[in-house]
This record gives sequence, C-alpha cells and structure tokens, in this order.
Amino acid sequence: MALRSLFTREARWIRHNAGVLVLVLLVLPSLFAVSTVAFQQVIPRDTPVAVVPEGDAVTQDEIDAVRGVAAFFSRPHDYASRQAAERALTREEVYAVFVVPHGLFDEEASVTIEMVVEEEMVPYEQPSLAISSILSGQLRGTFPAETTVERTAIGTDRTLSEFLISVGTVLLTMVYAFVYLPRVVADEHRVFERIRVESSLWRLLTAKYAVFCPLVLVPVVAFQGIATSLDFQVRLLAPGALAAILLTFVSLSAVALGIMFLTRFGALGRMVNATLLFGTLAFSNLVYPAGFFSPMRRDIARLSPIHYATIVHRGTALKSNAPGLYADRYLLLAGFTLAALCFLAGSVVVFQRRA
Amino acid sequence: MAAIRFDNVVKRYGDVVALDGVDIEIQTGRCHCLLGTNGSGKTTLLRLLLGLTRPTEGAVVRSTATIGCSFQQPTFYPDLTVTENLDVFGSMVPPPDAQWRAELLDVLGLDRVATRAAGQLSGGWQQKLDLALAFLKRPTIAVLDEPLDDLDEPSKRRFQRFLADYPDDDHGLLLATHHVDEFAATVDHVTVLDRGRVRDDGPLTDAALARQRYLESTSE
Repeated sequence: MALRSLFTREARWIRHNAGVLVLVLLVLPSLFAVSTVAFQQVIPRDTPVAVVPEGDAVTQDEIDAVRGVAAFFSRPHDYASRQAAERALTREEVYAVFVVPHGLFDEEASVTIEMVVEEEMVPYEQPSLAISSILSGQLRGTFPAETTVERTAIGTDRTLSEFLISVGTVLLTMVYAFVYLPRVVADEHRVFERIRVESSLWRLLTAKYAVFCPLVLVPVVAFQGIATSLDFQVRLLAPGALAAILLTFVSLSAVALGIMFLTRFGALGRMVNATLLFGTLAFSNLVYPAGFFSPMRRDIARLSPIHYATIVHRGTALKSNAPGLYADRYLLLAGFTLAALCFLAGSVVVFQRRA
Repeated sequence: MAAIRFDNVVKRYGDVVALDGVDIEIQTGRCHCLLGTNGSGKTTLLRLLLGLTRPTEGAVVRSTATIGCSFQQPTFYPDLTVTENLDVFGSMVPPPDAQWRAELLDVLGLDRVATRAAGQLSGGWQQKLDLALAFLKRPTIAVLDEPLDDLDEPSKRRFQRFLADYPDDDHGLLLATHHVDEFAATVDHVTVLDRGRVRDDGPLTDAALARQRYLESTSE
C-alpha cells in the first residue's frame, strides 16, 4: 500500500473522529490553559476566616479594624459568637477564627487578638503560623493599644500523612467512579442487546451497583488496615465516613455512566469522563483550603459536591466529629446523588430510544 | 396460534423509512422465514419484535410468548466460559429445563468447549453458543438471524434437523436469512421483505418457489 493511501486513511480517521479530536486537542488544552488562572498565588489570600468579638464590650469599630487587617490575607466573615465561629471552623466554612478583644483603641491597654485554627487542617498549619507572625508585626503601631497575635490550635494534632489518607480515600473513590466502573460496563456493552431481551438494562445497572458499592469499600478497609498498622489516628470505617464515600461513588459513577450511555460507549465518553475526573480533582480543593490559591478556585470549589464530601469525610474520619454536624451536607450529597441517578436513568432511556 | 403480530408497523430513522406498513403474524407450530436483501428491513423487523426499538407507527403485539434470540453478531459475556454464560442467562426467568439444556449442548457440541472463555472461541463456536442461548429457555418463538453462517457442514446438518423438529403447538421459529435453500426442509411460511414493505407473505412448502420470490425481490 502506498504511503499516500495510508495518509488518505489518516485523513478519513480524522474526519470520523473529529469530535474526539476537537475535545482532546483543542478543548482540553484550552481548559487547562484557562484553569491556570485559578492558581494565581501560592500564599493563601482568599481563604475564608471568621471575625468574632471576644465579649459584649467589643465595639463595631474594633471588629471593623480587625476585619480590615484580616482582609489583607483572607476573606473575613462576621460571626456573632465564638461558638458559632468554631462550629464553622470545624465544618471548614472558615479556616481561622480571629477573636477581637476590647481596647484596641485604648493607648493604655495591652490586648491580644486570638487566631484560632484547627490542628487537623494540616496544610493550613504553616500558612497560619506565617500569617500570625506577619500579623503581629503589622499590628505593631497600627492600633493605639499594644497589640499581639496569639495563635491557638484546637483539636488533635495530626500528621500530613493522616490528613492525606482521608483525602486519598475520596480520591481513589473518584477514580473508581469515573474510570473503573464505566470501563467494566463498557466491556459488557456487547451483551446489552441480549440483556435487554432476556432482562433489562435497569436490572443490569442495579446488579452493578449492588456489587460495586460493597466492593468500593474494600480499598477503604485496606486503607484503614495500613493506617492502623502505621499508628495513624483515622477512622475511615466510621459510619459517617463510609456514607460520604458511598454517596461520592454512587453520584460520580452515575454521572460517568450516564455520559457513557449518551456517547454510546465511544471514545468521546471516556475523554469527557477523564476531563471531569481531572477537573474535579483540580477544582474541588480536596487538599488545600478553599481560597488557598485564588477567589475563583474558592468559588468553584464551593460549587462542587465533592468538596463537601471531602470535608464530611475529613470531619468524621480525621476529626471524629458526629455525622450530625454535617447533616446539611449529607443532604446536599444525597440530593446530588439523586440528581445524578436521574441523569443516568435519562441517558439509559435515550440510549434505548436511539437503538 | 399467533404469538406476535405486527399491526401496520412503520419504522422511520429520520427520513429513512425502514419498514412501511408491515402486517404479519408470527405463529407457533411453524417455521417462519424472513427473506430480503440487505436494507430490506429484516433487521429492523427483528429488533422491533425483540423490543429493542419501538415502532414509529402501528403496534407490535406480543402475547405471553417467551422469545429467545440469536444475533448476527454473537452476544454473550466474552470473559465468561461457555458454561458460565449458559448459567448466567439460564438463571434469568424462566429457568431452563436441565434435560433440555443437555440436549441442546449435545446438538451443538458445546460440551467440548464448556470450560473455555467464550471470547476466545472461533467464530463457529461463538455462533453455536449464541444459538444455545437463543434456545436455552425453550422459548415460544426463537428468533434467529442468519443462524448457519459460521457453522461447518456437519454442524449445519445437525442443527437443521434440530430446527425442523422445534416447531410444535407451543413453539415456533422465525429465521431471517438470505439462504432460503439451506432451510428448504424446515420452512413452512415465508415473508419476503422488499425496501421495507411486505412483498409476499404466505405458507410455503416449495423451496424453489420461495427462492424465486426472493430473487424477484432482488432483481428489481
């Protein structure tokens, strides 16, 4: 066969795979290029923090003054009480709490602004130390009173490894959901017609979920076994953590399978799922606090159900919090899961109608 | 007895009319042969009959008949062995009779490859497995699309005998083929499809006449 013939074959291949090629060679690189703007800086400047008065005597001017200072390196939010602020801290709505004392404008006074952070939020430990140190220097001379900043870490000290094992569990679940289960179902694509005659695709999917939901817990058990042997203080098998993993798996795999059905198990579907996997990994702020890199990333992360799944998992597995603390987030995850299953059901209907 | 009835069925794919006003009955007790050239609408008719697609107009009325099917492309789990495939599809209701299953395996000679992964079998063995799956439940109507294409001559002859014996008061066959001569001894009813329309539909015992009707449909 002449080289020209082979070039003709390549030209035909390009024509038949135009959609996939546009996605792989144009859309993905463009998205990657655009996404770099989300990494504007490496020092956190937009992480949400709470500003809360120490007591009733604290004036609004004092609160506003501390808010103004905090705004240099974070996005301050007002809370009425320390208890509410620390609850928000535990739920990762904020990553630090600034407790404003009374007397900032009193030349005779010597006051301390308390910066409360969580021990378990390991990636924020060094930034918070740097922030408290910088803040101490900046405040000297800013206020009439002699002002110092004291950093208080609440919770239990955790290592980065312990922190990452929780994140890793969610991450692995995402890979199973976006890659492994769709691959398994795609491999069975050839038998779908017989399944539809003898049984139904609904039953096939029910069987898949009945098998894969317990299976996806096997790596969690393995993670826990290794964590225990390494003396890590994590509770990956806590019911609340397992619920977060299962909701993550069911919702993401339903989205991924829905895409596979809509694209009739073609290469385009695999590429879309890979894009979604990497997009979710990059923009759900699984490791770093939301707002660590840029306001855009903070806003995107706050839209991602997986961001909340990670927070819930961290809260129950790493911080040993009661699942009830995250009731609204479980509800959000359940709602997302339901919506994803509806999407999957719709895509199966479309798949069958187009057949 | 009519197990499946097509009532004025029209099927369109966009602007393409695949079937146009088809009225036929598939009955038990006979071997019904569907003849037609490529693009005549045979596959569409089979897919409608199997419930894999829906008519644009008209209705496909199925009685309580159970349907078994063999596809043009063998359809089974390639990673499972022959026995495992039979077990999986056999476990879907209604469960097959053990004696019937044994008879079926004997006719098709599948015992020889029972423990081999289905996906690694040659084309002929894959077709035999597909045929076994079609008959596994001893369906009211067995629908077969070009069932003899990949079989060797001895296997063809054995399977032809099996097909000839299959129709009775409770069971029937629907064959889609280009090769009417291969089923001369089996077929007793023929529907000739031509560009989506029923050109001819009626009882037939004369294979030569069936062949002639088929050739007429291809010659215009």
